[in-house]
Amino acid sequence: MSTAASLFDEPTLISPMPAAVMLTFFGVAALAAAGLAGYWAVTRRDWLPLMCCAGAAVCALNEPIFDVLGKIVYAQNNVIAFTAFGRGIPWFLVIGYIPWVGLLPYVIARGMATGWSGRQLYTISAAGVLSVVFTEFVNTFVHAWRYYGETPLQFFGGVAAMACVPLAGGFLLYALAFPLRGISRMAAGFFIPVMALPMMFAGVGLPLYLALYTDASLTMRVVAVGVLVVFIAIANVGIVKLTQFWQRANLSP
Amino acid sequence: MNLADSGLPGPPPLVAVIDPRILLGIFVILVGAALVVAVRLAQANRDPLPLVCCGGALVAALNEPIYDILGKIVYAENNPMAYHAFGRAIPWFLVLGYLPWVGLAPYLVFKAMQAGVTRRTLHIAAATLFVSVGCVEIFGNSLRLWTYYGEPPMKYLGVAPQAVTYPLVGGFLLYAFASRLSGWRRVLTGFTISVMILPIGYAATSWPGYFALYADLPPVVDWVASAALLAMCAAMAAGATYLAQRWRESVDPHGPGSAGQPASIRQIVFGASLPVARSTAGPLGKNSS
Repeated sequence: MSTAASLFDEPTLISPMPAAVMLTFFGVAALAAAGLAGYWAVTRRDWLPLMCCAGAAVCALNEPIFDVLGKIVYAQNNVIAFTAFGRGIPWFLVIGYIPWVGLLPYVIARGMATGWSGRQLYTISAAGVLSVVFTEFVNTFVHAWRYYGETPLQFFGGVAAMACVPLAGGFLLYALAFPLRGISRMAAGFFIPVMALPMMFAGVGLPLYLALYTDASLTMRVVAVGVLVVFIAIANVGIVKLTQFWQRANLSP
Repeated sequence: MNLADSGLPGPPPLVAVIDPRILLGIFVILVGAALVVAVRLAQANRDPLPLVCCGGALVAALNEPIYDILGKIVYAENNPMAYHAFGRAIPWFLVLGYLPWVGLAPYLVFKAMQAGVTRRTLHIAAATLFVSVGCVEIFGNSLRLWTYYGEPPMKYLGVAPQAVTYPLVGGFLLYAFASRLSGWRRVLTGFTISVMILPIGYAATSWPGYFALYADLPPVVDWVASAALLAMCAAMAAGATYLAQRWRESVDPHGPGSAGQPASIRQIVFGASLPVARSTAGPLGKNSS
């Protein structure tokens, strides 16, 4: 069992690459997402996409909690946005929330409203995971962050749970925010991305976090990953089924 | 009293001023009563779901140390301990306490939603639960059975406000998913929902408080974070009842609870002929009983 002290301890990591590399990589994605959100806000006369992006940026304050629980550490030579829970959180990660936690759920919600099928929703969920896998692949060269948990737990700290975050955010926007107008619509658009990520990470992550903080055998670690994947699959299927119900019953405009 | 290497404040040592076995005894009685209700419900409805929910809630108790650390909660060292994880000892009374609050309460909310209880009534019930948990908190803190070692106002918002979230969210999820299933799918779904709802409710609504507890922020920001926590708890509860209402209106628009037909408590808890049982197919084309 880990001690309370070791819960907040992390190894030191220095990236061999300049901090500007990851900042540029995520900066382009964030700028494109914010630009698209702004364009849609103007052309659709609806602040919702911009509110989603703002909520996602605030949601980044959750990052150190799940970094501690999921045993993720960032290179010390990153440009740091804020420090909390003893962790320095880099700027590239904060702005990375805008496309993945802010705009993508809005796009999914629009798709749900226009009748996207279950297959399409699963596909976009898989595409979201693959996009995170791609950033992990880029990171193998840049070493801007590292998972310091034991095998195979360290491969599931961030990638897997992202499968259900955009879907959950998308459904909540579709079912709760889309029927609203005015201030309440903007408030829902802001708070749903603020809540969707911690909701899903914490909801499915218990087996991973427990295994990471116990002296679990390899077998138990594999079992924990298996339960995590089952939880994620159940969450994804549940959200898609719920969406299909909402669509067929025409419960959201 | 600092954690080694990190400089983060650790929990203070705490010893209860009464024998903690008294508290454990009270919880055993509460849990026994909840189990009796769950067994009676299972027998009356020929449905293992209430017992499965109670089982899932006990597994969900493994989340406790995570939110104790984040919310800066520590238990008296002389409590009888159930397990250790994340460097924290979790007492038996707390593990058992998950059964009525995280296991049975969402099931009862599910039955209430299914029976067409109004959103207003559900909100009043949630507010009552909030007050009841607040009273338990005052009792436990005053006897030093547990304490919150963070800064005010966040230290007062670690448990009671969240008690309005997971029963309502769990109730909606059981209503939307488990109520449409039978056999092992119903059992697995009910179990999974019970395991997940507490961290969903806590993590989604409480992180501003956790952030403020672990940061050296100006007092005004602490108050803003606390207000955000309360607002998100209320929003999550209201969101869950809204979704449940929309769901029910589409599945069974003419059952008790709609058009001025309030369901009785007996119908809510033990009613085998609940309105949804009459509805043969929902929009997905499956039985909705």
